[in-house]
Amino acid sequence: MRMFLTGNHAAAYGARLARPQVIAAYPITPQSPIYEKLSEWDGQGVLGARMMRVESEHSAMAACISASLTGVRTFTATASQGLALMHELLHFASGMRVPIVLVNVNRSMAGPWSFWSEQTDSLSQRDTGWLQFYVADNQEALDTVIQAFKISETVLLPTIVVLEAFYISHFMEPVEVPDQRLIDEFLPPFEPPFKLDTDNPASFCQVVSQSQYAEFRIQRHMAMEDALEVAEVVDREYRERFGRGYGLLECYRLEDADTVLVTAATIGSTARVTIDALREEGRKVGMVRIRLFRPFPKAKLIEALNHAKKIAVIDRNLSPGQEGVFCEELKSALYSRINGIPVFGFVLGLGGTNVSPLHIRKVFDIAEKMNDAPLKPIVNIEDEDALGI
Amino acid sequence: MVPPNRAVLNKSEPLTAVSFDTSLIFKTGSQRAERPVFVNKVAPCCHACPIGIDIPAAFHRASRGDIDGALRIYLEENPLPGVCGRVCYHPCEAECNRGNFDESINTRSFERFLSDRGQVAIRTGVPVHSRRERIAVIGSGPAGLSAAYHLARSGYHITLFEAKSEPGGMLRYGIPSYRLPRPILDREIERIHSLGIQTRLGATVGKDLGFKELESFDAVFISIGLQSGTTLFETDSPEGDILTGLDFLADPQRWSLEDDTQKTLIIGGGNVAIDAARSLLRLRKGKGGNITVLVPESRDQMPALPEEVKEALEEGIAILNGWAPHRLHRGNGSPFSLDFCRAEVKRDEESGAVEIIRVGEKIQKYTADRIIVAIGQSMKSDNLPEGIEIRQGKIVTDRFGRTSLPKVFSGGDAIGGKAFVADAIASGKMGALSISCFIEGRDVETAFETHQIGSSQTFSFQHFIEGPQENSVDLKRVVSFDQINTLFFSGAARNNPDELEPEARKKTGEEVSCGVDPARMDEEICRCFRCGTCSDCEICLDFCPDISIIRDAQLGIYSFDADYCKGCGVCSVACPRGVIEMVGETR
Repeated sequence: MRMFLTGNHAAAYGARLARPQVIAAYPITPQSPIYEKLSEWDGQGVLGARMMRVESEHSAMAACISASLTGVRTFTATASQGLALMHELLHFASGMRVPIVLVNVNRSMAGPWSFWSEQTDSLSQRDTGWLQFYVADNQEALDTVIQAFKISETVLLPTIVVLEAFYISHFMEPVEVPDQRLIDEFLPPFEPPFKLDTDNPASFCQVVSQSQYAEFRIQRHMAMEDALEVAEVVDREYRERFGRGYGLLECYRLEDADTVLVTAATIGSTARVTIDALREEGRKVGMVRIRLFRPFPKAKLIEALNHAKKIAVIDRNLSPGQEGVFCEELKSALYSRINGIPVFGFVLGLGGTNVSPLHIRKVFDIAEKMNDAPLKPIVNIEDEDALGI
Repeated sequence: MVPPNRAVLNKSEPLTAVSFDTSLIFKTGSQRAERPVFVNKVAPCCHACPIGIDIPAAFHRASRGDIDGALRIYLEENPLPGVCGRVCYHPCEAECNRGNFDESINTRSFERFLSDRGQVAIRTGVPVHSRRERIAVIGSGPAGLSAAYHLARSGYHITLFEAKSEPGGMLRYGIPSYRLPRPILDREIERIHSLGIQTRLGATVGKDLGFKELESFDAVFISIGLQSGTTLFETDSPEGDILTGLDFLADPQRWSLEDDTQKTLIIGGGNVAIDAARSLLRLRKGKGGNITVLVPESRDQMPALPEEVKEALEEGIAILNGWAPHRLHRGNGSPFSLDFCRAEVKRDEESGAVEIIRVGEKIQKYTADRIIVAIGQSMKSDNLPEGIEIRQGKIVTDRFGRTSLPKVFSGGDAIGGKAFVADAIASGKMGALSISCFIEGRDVETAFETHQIGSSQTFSFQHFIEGPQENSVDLKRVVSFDQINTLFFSGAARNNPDELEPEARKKTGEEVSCGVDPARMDEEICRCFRCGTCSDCEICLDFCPDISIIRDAQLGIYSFDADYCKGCGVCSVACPRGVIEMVGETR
């Protein structure tokens, strides 16, 4: 059924269609509409899940871990400070191999207080052992939540699906909401290989020896690497069933492109407009939008960027003292295989500031005019003198 | 569909730490920086009790249905629970921690309940008469009975001398039977005598037999009380129409019954004045329109127990406060005419001395047929041993009851201090400690401080004669309200005793208070927090996250498992009654 939905409500529909049995969450701007929509369904008796209203995000994640250990499908949603408060338990969740799905609405971290889109909250969770998807529109939000359950339950690792604050969470778009019966066929009930079971008592997550710990860590990493393939297979199956798939990367007009923009989330959908216009002018430009950030699809990126002469990266985040995280990760991926392609790192859109088609045009202009990529990120695209062009 | 991959294939292998075996290999006790200590402590009621009774321990026994055991705990310190359960001024109730929560526990009614229902053999430290020393106790009021009782429990031979024809002192000759029925008093005295105490009634030491004749005794305890009422006027008037309160109470029948129309004026604000008024009312079968009590103190300042004043007013006795006698005339129609002036009373908190101050010039005239004067008591000092130091009409002693004479000790009203029954009993107990130490050649100060309850004026005689026992109370630690975990208690109203209706009781002279009925006493027993006394509630067991509290099923005492207790302190916080505390680990 086609509905006119905000990104938050699209994610809530995705969660509901997946038939989770436990949802433990805590409201926070700009995620609250997800929580409210689920609560509304709970009140109407149509949710089908046990909704746990807890006193903090820390408790929400603790409840999700425990619930998931009993073998039930588990969902939660949060944003920004809430995700930061969960941090300790995010490590527990992946270490305990529980396939929780979490929707995080990207919001800038305080202080100072700010509520707009920025990716620092989720990127700060890079090393917690969770899969991370960054989506570009509301439809993709719904579809990715459903895919995430299937991927997570296969590799037994939890997944964060990232929606940008307001650009996705609060903007309304037409969204195709799949039929429940078809989703049930795509996503069978969760059956974990081991679970908390009072008939077969066991203790979970006890102290282990140094070597056992090391083994579990390597095992978790292997599962994460497996997830690359699993994510691709699940996405392909989803496309076959529902006619929509996204890949691990979105490759846009890459054929014979000399200058390629690499970015994530909604900047990617904006960039399509700019690229179409530049192509009309005869400029050879294209784009790679990174949809899956963890595990990082290195091989796919190398393959996609193999023929590019210049790469420009736009990050809506900044790791202080280094550069944008996507840019850094990309360089790390390329270094072993492709040498000599200059990578221009741009940091734009911090604090939810707008990255318009004109901004993106300017990024292409600068990348084409400059020969050597600077060591520092480019944060000001208006001052050409300072850039030496 | 999803192709085979490592993650899927690995599902049969453990993916995370899961143990189907025991985790006892991890001795988490090594993480402990503090350990729990289970120590019974003193409750504030016990600390406030002049006699130092371990009240919460008795409540705990009673809560288990062991009424005899509860009474036994009372008898470890107090030989007269039936008396105190009726007439005590119950300072325990004022300090009760439950008073900060809803209402204090009705401790006095509990004591009465135990004494009326319990049957128990007295616990002695050593067998009766196991020591050869002999001790004379002179005076069988509460102080003398208490000294005799505790010394007899300590194995001494006791001879109790009583000038009157029956034992009990003020308990018998001062407190009216509607407050303390004589069968109760007789039963309690009989229990004390069962310890093999010899009693010589009608024997006034210093008159009927001299102190010289007591020289064969190893020690003498003088507890002769203050037997004489203080007089304002010539009380031995030929007509017998002016009496002291004490003389009247000792023999109320001396005024014939047919004079129920006669106007009687009682002067004084203490228990004796109120007792005299209420006794007279009962002699007149309840016709009391002509009984008036004139009190120098304000209503709030009156030394009489508030409940006594309340009951007297209910019975129709007029109490006029703030008046002092000024001049007495013999009248014509009525025998007396008295002038009263407005008065205020100042009491010196240190010495207890009272000063009555006239206020203003106003004079009020009263006429009366008879007068009872109840404004104080004094000692008959003509029967005391030669050379004993007396000051301001009281025998001089140190705080352990030692007089200026060797071998001679004293206690009760004769040495001053508070004039209540419980204080007299406490004073007798102190005398017993002092005499024991004197005979055994021990330092009484050390003995007192060792067994002193908190910072109070009293000590535990039970600890003194039996020494520290397994799991016994740490006498120095008093449990405050903030150590009570009130989350484990719900509000419940205090259960008060029923009373006879004023119209009924003043005609019959029966005991006014009926006590709390047994069903409601059960509720009252449940209300007690049992501050500082482990009640076996097992809340520590429930809360311990390491399952490391160990209960000794036979002794009912608790300890902790040193191998696994991490010292988190949850048990100490959870304990409803302040028994568990954390102390630094010394490993």
